[in-house]
Amino acid sequence: MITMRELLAQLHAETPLAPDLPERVGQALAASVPATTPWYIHGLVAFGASIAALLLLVFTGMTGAITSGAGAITVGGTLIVAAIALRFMVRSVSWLAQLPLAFSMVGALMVFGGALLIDGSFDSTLGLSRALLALALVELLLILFYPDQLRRLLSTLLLALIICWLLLSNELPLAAALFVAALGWGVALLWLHEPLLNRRADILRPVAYGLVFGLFACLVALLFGPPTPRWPLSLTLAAALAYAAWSLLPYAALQTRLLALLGVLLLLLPAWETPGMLAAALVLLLGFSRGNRILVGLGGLFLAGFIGFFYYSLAATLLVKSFALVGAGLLLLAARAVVLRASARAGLL
Amino acid sequence: MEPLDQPASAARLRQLAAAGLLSPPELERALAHAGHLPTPRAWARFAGVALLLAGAALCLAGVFFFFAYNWADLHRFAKFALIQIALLAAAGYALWRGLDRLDGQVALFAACALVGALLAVFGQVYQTGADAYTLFLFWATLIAVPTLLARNAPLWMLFAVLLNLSLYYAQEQLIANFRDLRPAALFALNAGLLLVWELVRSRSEAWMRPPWYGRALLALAAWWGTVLLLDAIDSRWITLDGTLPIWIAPLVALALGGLAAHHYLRRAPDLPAPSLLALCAIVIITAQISQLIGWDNLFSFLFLGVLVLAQVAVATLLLLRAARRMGVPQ
Repeated sequence: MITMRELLAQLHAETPLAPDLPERVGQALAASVPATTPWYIHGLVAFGASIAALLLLVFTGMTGAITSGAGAITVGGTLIVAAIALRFMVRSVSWLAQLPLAFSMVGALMVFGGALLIDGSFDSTLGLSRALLALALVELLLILFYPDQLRRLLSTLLLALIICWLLLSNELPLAAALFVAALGWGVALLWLHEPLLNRRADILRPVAYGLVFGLFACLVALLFGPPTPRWPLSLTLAAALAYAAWSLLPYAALQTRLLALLGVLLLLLPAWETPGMLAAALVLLLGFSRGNRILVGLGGLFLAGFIGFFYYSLAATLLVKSFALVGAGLLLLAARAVVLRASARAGLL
Repeated sequence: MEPLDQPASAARLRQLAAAGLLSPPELERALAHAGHLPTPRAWARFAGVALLLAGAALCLAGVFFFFAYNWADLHRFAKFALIQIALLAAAGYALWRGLDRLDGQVALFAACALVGALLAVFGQVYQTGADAYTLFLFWATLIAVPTLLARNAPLWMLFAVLLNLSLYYAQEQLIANFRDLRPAALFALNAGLLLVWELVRSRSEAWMRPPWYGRALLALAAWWGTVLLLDAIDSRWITLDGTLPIWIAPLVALALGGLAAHHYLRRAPDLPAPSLLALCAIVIITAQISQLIGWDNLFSFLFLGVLVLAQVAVATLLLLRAARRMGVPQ
């Protein structure tokens, strides 16, 4: 990997930079080291905080101290405020992050439970909608004010799922499908313009990751939830994928760009009833274009999962499925041969 | 080291952009110059690899579906001919292209996978009454030689999965009435495979360099080791079988877990491995203490919640320190 000094020299040779930029860059790098936490340690923290939150919630419930919905909302709200304050206090201490995180989880669940029970209408759609709206508001506030990347990611994921659930529980399946399509476009636009995320990286980067997780979570929810019209979602996600593919190949020959669009159209055929395939392909493409291994891994994993689901749920005999699978496989291998030949002609291989 | 002589990592460049020293277009150019964004050549290679892997996986799945259908109208000789032609074609392609090329390796993997389909068809046609564990064991045996010779990490994983499946079903079908020895046996198998993998890997074999395969074996060993210890905790470490010293296996698993953590922290630094082992340790310690204090007391929930938080805090602190020491790109 080249050094910062070599990089600045290369950039300066292309377009003159401010004369004092190397000095300011040196000062900025000397002042602080980029300190973030690897994703698997984030996973450990999230796991620990979730288990602890459940245990603390059971303890709170068993004490019998909270007897009404309003009481639960009050205690939950207080816990959330305390969690935000605590996280600010231990902002630079990463290893203590799970304590306020657990508090914020308990608080959010208490607000949800309290809103659900507030007028005793536990099983009504109105009660559930009210509780989901309250939880959505809590998660939105946490995204804005809780100074922690992991919590912002989780809150974005939960917010996406809550909105999807809210629409489905109110029997608005088309709106739910369009909401998920909007999530797909959000993911595409945010990651295509990733450099802009650095303007408020503390909020926007975890939100961008949370949207990816939220998109996949909502797509899985739609697969196993009440029936929803899938074609509007498939068409919109295919449009997002086509837009991303077109944008990512600005200097490629027109033939290559048209080939990419043809690939999207072909993928639309099996993805008509399983739109998750398009979303996973979109995330895979965006991840590779940004050199982001987490997105590539997520996209690949979900693509394999959604393809598996597609063939599993196909209303056909194993024999028909086998012909469909081999046919699709041979098509992809033929496409590879075309790509390799075109790449070799362009001197890329 | 002078700040400007540090490597131009993506995190550092983003840090500069966040500090307002690089505009979004400058950041994009900087990321491209530093090699963090794919070049047209990388795009072409990515498309080739992705299409090859997806195409081969779909074709292979299709072949398995075809024989799973058990088409009655198809004569048994036709079935054998089809599967053997597919197998020979895949193996021939692998030999023709050579194992130093990706498509050759993929073809060899497909040939080894098709050996399983051939065995299944054999059992289907002649109603051999073979148990599932023998199918997986024969399959693993037949692909053992290519696995040893081919320098193909996914093939090693297929081999490991087949041995796991064989051992898993062997207990069920051979000694069903005996105490469930699967956790101990599967822990021993996966720990052994991991040991072999790490020993060979330490000789710097290029094809073994990606860390994911070792991590997958570690995850399997850690899973069965944890199940083994949870079993022992659940039975209060009491030997139910009279003569068998059942408690030895969990203690061995615990000791090997500690050695593995030391290995991945000090000798072959790989932070995800100790992170996984830390998670297992938290589960085991919490289970042991919850078993000691019981669940009938209200304050048990509070105590265990605080205990989990404390353990995660200690684990995170130690892992972050290790990350700094290893210079992990965080």
